[in-house]
Amino acid sequence: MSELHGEVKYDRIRVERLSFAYDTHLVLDAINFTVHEGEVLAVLGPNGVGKSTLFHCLLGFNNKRFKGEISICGESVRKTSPATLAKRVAFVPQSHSPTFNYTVRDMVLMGTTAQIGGLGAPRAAELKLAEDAMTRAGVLHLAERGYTHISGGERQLTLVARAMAQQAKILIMDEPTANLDFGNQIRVMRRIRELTREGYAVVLSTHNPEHALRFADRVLAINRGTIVAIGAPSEVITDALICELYSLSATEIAEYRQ
Amino acid sequence: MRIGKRVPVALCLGVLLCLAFIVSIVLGRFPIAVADIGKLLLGRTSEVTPQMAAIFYNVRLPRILLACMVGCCLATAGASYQGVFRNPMAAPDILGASSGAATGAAIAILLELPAQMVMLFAFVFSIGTIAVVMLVSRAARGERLLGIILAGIMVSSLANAVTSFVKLVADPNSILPEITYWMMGSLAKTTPQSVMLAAIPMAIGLIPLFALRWHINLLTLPENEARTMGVNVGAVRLVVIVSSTLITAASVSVSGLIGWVGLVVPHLLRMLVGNNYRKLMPVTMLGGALFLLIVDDISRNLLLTEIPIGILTSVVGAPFFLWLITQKREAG
Repeated sequence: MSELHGEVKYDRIRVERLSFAYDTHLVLDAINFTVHEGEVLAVLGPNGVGKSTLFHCLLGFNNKRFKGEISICGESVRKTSPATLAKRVAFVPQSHSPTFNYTVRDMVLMGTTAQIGGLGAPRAAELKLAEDAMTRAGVLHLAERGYTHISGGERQLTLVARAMAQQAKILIMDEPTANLDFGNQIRVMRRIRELTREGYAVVLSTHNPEHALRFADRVLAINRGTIVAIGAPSEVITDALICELYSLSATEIAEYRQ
Repeated sequence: MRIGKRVPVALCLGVLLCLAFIVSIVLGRFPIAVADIGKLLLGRTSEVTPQMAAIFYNVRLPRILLACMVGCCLATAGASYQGVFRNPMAAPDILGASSGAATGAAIAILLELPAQMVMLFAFVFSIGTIAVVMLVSRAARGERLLGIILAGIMVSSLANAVTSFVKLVADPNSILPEITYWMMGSLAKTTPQSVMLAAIPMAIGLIPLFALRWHINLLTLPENEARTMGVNVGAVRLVVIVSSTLITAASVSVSGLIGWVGLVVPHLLRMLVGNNYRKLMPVTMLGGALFLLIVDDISRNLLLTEIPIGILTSVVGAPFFLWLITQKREAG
């Protein structure tokens, strides 16, 4: 986990014995996993099993409430300031429509805020970062368009660009393909795949096991706060797992396949 | 496409403001020639009549400056509240800052206190109202931002009730008209002292709002999102709310209730420069000053008797806003 290890893959995220409870209701129960650089980890699981809570813990929102340990780039999230954490982890929310219509360029520029630090506004260096990020995410041609006036897929790619402009090498993505049409789902997933070649570590949640199979390096299946399975997609994603996660019967899956 | 980028719009507003400033000096019952303006501004009082110098320094210049300052503050507070509450309809009145200030001033007028004390009362009550609103909203369950707005409406209503009671017990021959006139909003009683007194809290509030203008953009996003971008959302939000309230209270305490500026000016400028506060904030400051200066010129020159400026901003603001919200949305 340091230069000493030379060629060894760097652990971007290390989660140990992570537990989280709302009052007495245990949402996450002693979870362990790691995420390396250049890897996509897909988190699978039905609604309300603690995926969002897990993400919030990784993003440092629940520092005072979770038990166990989360290290981001080798440093405990509890000891990392929000500004430093922002330089290491970027969050890509589901595409939404904000109150005010910003241009795509302004939206992406907001990602550079952690670089500015303290007061002040983005300058030439930050504008360059935003420009690069838009180019890499393929939204440069939309730069002057209003964010609320572009398609869902374009918005999602804008948010990816914003995360890239943030210069963090870990991306946490909340259902990046939700509410997208088929073409945009593929485009967004391909773009995410390309990012890992640049050394990004990506943790994303998805409701589509097929996306996990095609685009993820590893799958983390959680149900009722515990890890049901973790490993290579082709090994983890079995009919039995899908039945368990989504409360389906074997017959229902078989019928779906026909 | 937007009509202009920052520099042209800001430059245009700056030039217009300078022009309006000169014209405002000339306008008025006591004539001041354009040729004398230079002498007056440079302080060469020996070259003009003593009467002209007295009018200029004690009446006209303070009033022009105060109109600009109040306009700037109300517009800036409106734009800031809109961002921090993620609500394009937010205005300096929503937190009860204006109502609280009105109550304080009414009490001070009732007690026949001097002008400085009226200002102080307005200010203290305004800040007090905000403190109550923040405390109530903290205790309230549910969505916090909505809680603040609801608490603001409730506390405003309470403050208005107190003001009404003050008016009820006030002497209908002397005190009541004074309170009523003050409530309509007016810059007629401006003195050099009131300009100086208001300038300090206004500067204290405007400087952080200008410095944080980029960060206000991030406050318009969902809170969690802004946090992941390294912004200390709680601290920035608090500074923005307190600063906006400070400049609102300072404005209301010297000029009474002047509505609509905080809503109309930022909205018009959003159409011109977009929603990025980095561009919006400077033009809002200039635009607010220009708007209120022009309205105040109308207020003191249109009729033989002065029209309270609060009435005029409503007459101008309400139809303008109606037009604004029925416009087609800008194309992206």
